[in-house]
This record gives sequence, C-alpha cells and structure tokens, in this order.
Amino acid sequence: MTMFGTGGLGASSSVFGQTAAASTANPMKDIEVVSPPDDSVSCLEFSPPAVPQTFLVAGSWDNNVRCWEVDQNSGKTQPKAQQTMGGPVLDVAWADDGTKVFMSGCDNTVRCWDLASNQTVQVAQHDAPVKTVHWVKAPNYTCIMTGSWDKTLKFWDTRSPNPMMSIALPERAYCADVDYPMAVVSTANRGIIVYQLEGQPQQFKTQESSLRYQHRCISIFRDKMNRPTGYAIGSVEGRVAIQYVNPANPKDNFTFKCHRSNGTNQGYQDIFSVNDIRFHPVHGTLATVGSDGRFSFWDKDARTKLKTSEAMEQSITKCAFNHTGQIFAYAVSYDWSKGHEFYTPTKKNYIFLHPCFEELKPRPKT
Amino acid sequence: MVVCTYYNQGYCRYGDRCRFDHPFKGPTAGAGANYRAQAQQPAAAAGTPSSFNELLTGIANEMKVWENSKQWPFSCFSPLKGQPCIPGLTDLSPEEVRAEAYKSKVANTPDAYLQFFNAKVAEYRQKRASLHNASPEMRTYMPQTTGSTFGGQTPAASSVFGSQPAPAAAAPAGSVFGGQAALPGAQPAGGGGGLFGKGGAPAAGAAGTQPTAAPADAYSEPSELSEQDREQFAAAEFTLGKVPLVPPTREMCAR
Repeated sequence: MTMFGTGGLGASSSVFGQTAAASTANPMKDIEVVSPPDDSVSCLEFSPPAVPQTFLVAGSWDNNVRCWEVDQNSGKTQPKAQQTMGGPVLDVAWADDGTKVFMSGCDNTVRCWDLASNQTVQVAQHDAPVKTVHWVKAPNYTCIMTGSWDKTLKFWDTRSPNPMMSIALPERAYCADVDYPMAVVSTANRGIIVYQLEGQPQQFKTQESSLRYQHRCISIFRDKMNRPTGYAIGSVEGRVAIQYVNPANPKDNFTFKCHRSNGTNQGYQDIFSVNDIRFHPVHGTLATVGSDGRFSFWDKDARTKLKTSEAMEQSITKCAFNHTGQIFAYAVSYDWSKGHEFYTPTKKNYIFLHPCFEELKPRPKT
Repeated sequence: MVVCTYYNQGYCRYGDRCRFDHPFKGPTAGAGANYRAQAQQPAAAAGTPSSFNELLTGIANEMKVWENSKQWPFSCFSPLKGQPCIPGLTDLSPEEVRAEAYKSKVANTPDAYLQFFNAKVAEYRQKRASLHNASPEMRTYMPQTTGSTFGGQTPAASSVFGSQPAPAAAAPAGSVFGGQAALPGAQPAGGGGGLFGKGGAPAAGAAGTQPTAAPADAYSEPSELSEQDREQFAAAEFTLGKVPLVPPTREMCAR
C-alpha cells in the first residue's frame, strides 16, 4: 500500500530509499529537487491522476516554469523541460488530462504549455498581473479561470482570444481555488466570493472573513461525502480560518493561530504569514507553510495540530501534495515578507519532497 | 483593566492565567480559555461608551502587537471578525511590492522602487500610530443614541487617518464598530438629530456623497455659528476637538 517500502514513520531518508544528510538547509532530511529555480518559487503543482508518472511543475520569479519527473519510489527527480514567460510567474495549473500546463504572471498574460510538443501559446490577457490560474472541468465545458490584480475574474475557452466570461471583483484577486462545482476567490481587503460552476460560472455568494488581516492563500476542502463544502484561508497574521459555505452550525467556523514564535521579543511573539494551505487528497487533513520557514500539519475536524517541522533557512513560499497523497513538496525561498532588504539573490532556493502519508493521518477522535 | 483582545476574538491561550481582562459574557461564555471554542462577537451593544472604549483599547493594543511582531506591515485591518476593514488601511501584498521591485530593476530605476517602498512604510506606520493613539477627542465623538455629531459637509473621508477630519471619518468606521443599529454613519439618512441639527438631510455620512437637495432648514443661519465654527468651516480641515456641531450656512456650501 505505501509506495515507499517499510521505512519508519517520518524517517524520510529510509522511506525514500536514500539517505539525505540533515543540514541547516535541509533540517527535515527531505529529498532535494535537483536544478531548482534561480529565484523564489511562486507556485508549485503536481501532475493530475490522468498521468501515470509523477511530474512536478514550479513557477518562479526568475520568469521560468520548470518541470521535473519524480520517481515515486526513490524520490529522485529529473529536470524535464522549462519554459519562460515575459515576467515573473505567479501561478501554474495543470489541465486535468495532464497534457498541458497553464502559467500566469506579471506580464499580464496566461500561456498554455503543451508538454508533448514543448510549445507555449498565449491564451489569456489581463490589464495587470494575473495572480491565479485554475483549470475548470465541468461536464458541459472546460475552461481556465484567471484572477488578476486588475480586479477581474475571467473564464477562457482557450481556443478563443476573448474570455467567455468576465466578472468584476470588488478588489484585486489575491488567491483562489477551484474544486468543481465550487470556486472561491479571495481579494484584497479580505473579500471572499464563492462561485458556483455548474452550467456556467456564476457568483454564488460573498462571505465575511473571520480573519482580520490580509488574506494570503485559500484552499477548498470537502465534506465526508467528498463534496466541496468550505475553504481554509491563511492570513499574514499567522492565522488560518476554516469557513463553511453553508455552516450547519455557526460554531463550525473557527480560526486558529499558527506560524508564530515564542514571545521572546519583550513578550511579543513574532507573527509570520501563512503563505500556502493545502488539503491532503486522501485524509482531508491540511498542511500550512509560513514565512517562519516551517510547515505544519493539522487535523481540522479534531482541531489539533499533527506536526510542525524544523525551521528552514528561508520562508516556505508554496507547497503541494501529489494526487496519491504520498508526497508533500515544499519550496524554500524568500517570500518578500520583510521587503527587499532581506532578499539575497545568491541564496539557493530549494524544493523538498517529504513523504507524508502517515504523518497526515487524522487523529482518532477520543 | 485592559480587555484581552484575544479573549474578545474567542480564544486566549492563557485562559484564566491571562494578565488581561476576560469580561464575563453570560451563558454563552465559558469558552474563553478553550482553543477549540467558536469565536464569538463581543456581546456589548454598539454605541455604549464603555464598549467603544474597550474596542479602542483593543485596537491600540493590536497596533502595538503589530508593530512589534514583524508582521507584514502593508495589510488591511478589521477590529472585529466578519466586519469590514477600517477604511484608509488597504491591502498591499508582498507579491505586488516585489513586482514593483522587479519592474524597476528591469527599467533600471531602482530609486523609483525605493521611494515607493519607503513611502509605504511611512504611510502604514503613521496609520497604525493614529489608530493606536485614538485620541480622547475621538472618544467624545462616540456614536450617541441620537446619532452622530459629525458636523460639516466635508465629503466623508474614506480614511480615519490624520489627513481627513477624524470624526467624519469615524462615520464609515461606525459600521465597523458594532454592526448593530444606532450607527453614526447610518443615522443621517434616518433624519436623526445630530448631523445637520434639524430635520433629515440626505445622508452624507458614510458614503461621502454631497447632499444635493437639502431641505431649507438643513443649513445654519450665519448668526448661529460661533467664531470657532466659522474658522473651522473656513479651514481646509477640521481640527479634532473643535469640529462644529451645527451645519454650515448655505453660503458656505454654494459652489
């Protein structure tokens, strides 16, 4: 059942079949992805189930999108291909059949990368950087959904240069997630808008945020019947909110603090941003990564923390689960959370692969 | 005793050991020290001076924590869950700031970015400071039961901060502090006392729109204005503590 043989719990070295030495750069002894990007990683996505092999794609502030093949048994990575955009890349998305990768960025465009031919073509355009791109697969249509700092959310049939739909947002799009038939977009100034994608995309409702500071990341989760039912939002204030679209009980919505240090600075904690949130595809538990350079695993139903990692040398900007839930990938690179003064272009950026299936198992309820 | 902001949000990790005040909230309380508790809105009704004071204190505390915690400085802020952000403090994400930096690098204008960045740092620091130092005058401009006392026909500021007359700006903030009835911003449309002294003037409060067809008695007679009031209306901005409590004269509004 487990892909990685009989390694011990959390002992990443033996599980992956090779030993990684612990170092300050790699305190969790995880597998290092070879040939990492030359600048911070802005987006990270594994290939969908339709593809038998495992591919990992990462977009970076160095304007490139890189693709590696990951050996599921050994964790070994091999660079496969790379494409370049006209500016820093902000988001990537796979088509559900695994043949194409979409990339969006600061050059205000979205490009479609056909992996077989290794060609890209522009498929969408905004008036400002495109912060989010997601693939939408509905029974009667497929399209991509793009959110931009130009305060619009657009849906594109990629064969046409004009969007099939354009929705005005109250503010700049900051983060979004799609899990058919639900889509959710969070904007600047704590806006949250939920969309219903059945038939055609339409706004379903706006919701209030339980968080009180800037939103940073959002991720949809499902209920016990495997239907999208709510979302987790991370903010810059070291806090995550779990919100349901239709809470049965107001107490179902809650927030929790995370990615904070001890109060060593005259009793003040250091408060770090939650840069990314992802739900485990099998267990339904979640992972958060933060500016403090740590990742944490949580069980939102038991409302407990499952694990927190050691601190990396830099912030963790993004994370991703492969579709079987065996591998947790996280990117260690500077997230600009302290401005330009703390940016060291020569510092190496890392992407690590961490075997996670056991660690993310939900806590049994007592 | 200073009220604990985390308790107000529904979760204080110190629970009974906390050095700040955990006011009793009635039967629905008892969740204060419990991590798993659902967050509750403060039960205090909007408009009562003590709850507003508590809120201001809570906000002042938060600003202090924010400054000292190395949290991302360019963020919006809302004092209570589920409430709108305080106007004037708007979001700027790290990616947007970084995009500016990279843009000026490509255009070879590093100074443009530095200028932009330093201006933002100063701007947000100043705004946090004004929220922190919510002056005593601001507290006297508390929403009273008869509605707001915000005088004048200055376009209601979208900012609570310094550059706009703070009391008028508290009108939009009124909807933040409480979310219940009896909000200062909501009062003018209802023709409640305060704003224009007599009769219902079209709401100028939160939305910042100029009253276009005010009834005749919405304006003061010149004789009703004190010397200080006249000075204030003539000035570019109101001074906190001296904001007129009566409307301006028709002549002052004429364009």
